Amino acid sequence: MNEQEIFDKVVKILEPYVRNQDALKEIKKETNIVTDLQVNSSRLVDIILAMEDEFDIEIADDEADKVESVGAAIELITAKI
Amino acid sequence: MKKETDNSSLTSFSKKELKKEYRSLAVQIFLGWLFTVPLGYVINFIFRFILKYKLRNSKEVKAAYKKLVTTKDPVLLCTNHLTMMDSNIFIWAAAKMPFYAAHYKKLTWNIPAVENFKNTITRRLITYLGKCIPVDRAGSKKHHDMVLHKTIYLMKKGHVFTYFPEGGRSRTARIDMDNIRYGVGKLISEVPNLKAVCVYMRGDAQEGYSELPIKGETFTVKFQEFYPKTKHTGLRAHRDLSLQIMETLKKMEDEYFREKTGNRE
Repeated sequence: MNEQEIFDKVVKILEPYVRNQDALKEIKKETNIVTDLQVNSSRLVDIILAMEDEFDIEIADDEADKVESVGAAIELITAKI
Repeated sequence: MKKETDNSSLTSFSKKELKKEYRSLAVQIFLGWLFTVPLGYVINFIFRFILKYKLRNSKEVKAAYKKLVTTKDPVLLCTNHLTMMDSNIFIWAAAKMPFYAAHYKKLTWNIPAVENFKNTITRRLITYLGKCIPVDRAGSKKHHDMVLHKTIYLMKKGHVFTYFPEGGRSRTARIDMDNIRYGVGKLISEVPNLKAVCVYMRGDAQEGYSELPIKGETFTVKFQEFYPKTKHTGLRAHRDLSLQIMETLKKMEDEYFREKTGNRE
């Protein structure tokens, strides 16, 4: 799976939780999930678990804490698949 | 030597750091106990004679609470949250001051957000003496983990804790299943054999969330105990355990409103 495919899947996972639709239209690797996309921080756990299911990987708690941006999520997934 | 944090996702702290924190908790407990009766009677007086609060089935509620917390297992009270005074009202409702003075561990601890009381010395003092471990919501993972360490340490020693699984007062005035937080699941997953006691507490006139219940309010308090278990680990376990708590509270709320509507008809 290439980076663009991972990126597209991550965006699809994020979509239901995004409150700032304008930021979603311009989403890039540097986009911060909580501050830019305005995803409720409580929903980060749901997002991490959805990533685990989608990519068939396991993400430890301390790794999950580091997923602040779209790029960080892609990096973590790439390292695990 | 076994570390305090084995099999845990919490930050590891040195023995020295933990010892310092546990010592300050011991001082807080001693001072809190000294002030329990005088402070408790003042609050009792305010609730009963100034705010004119009433508790439905008071004797039954107190008997049920006594039974629920008389156990060797760690007890976590998981409570719905509608007003800033919920913790104090629950303490007033659940038992009388002589019981708390004799069984101080059963006077529940709280984990309030620091922004709710840091501005005045009086509030900070009452919070300190009133068995609170403040948490800074915007604080670091290390800070949050230390709060959890202290909570777990005290629970294992038989202290009862209150946790608001919704993370704040419900903006919908109902148990909000669409906005579940998983902190309660994380805490439950860290404490073996934890007994969860879901508490549904509501004033008859409480339509939304507020600072204070109205004067003359009558409260209903219901309990539902169970031992949350999950086959999952990590974040999935936190979510599963939190859902069990929230679903129980939701059922209790539905039952509350069914009874309320039934009484009107």
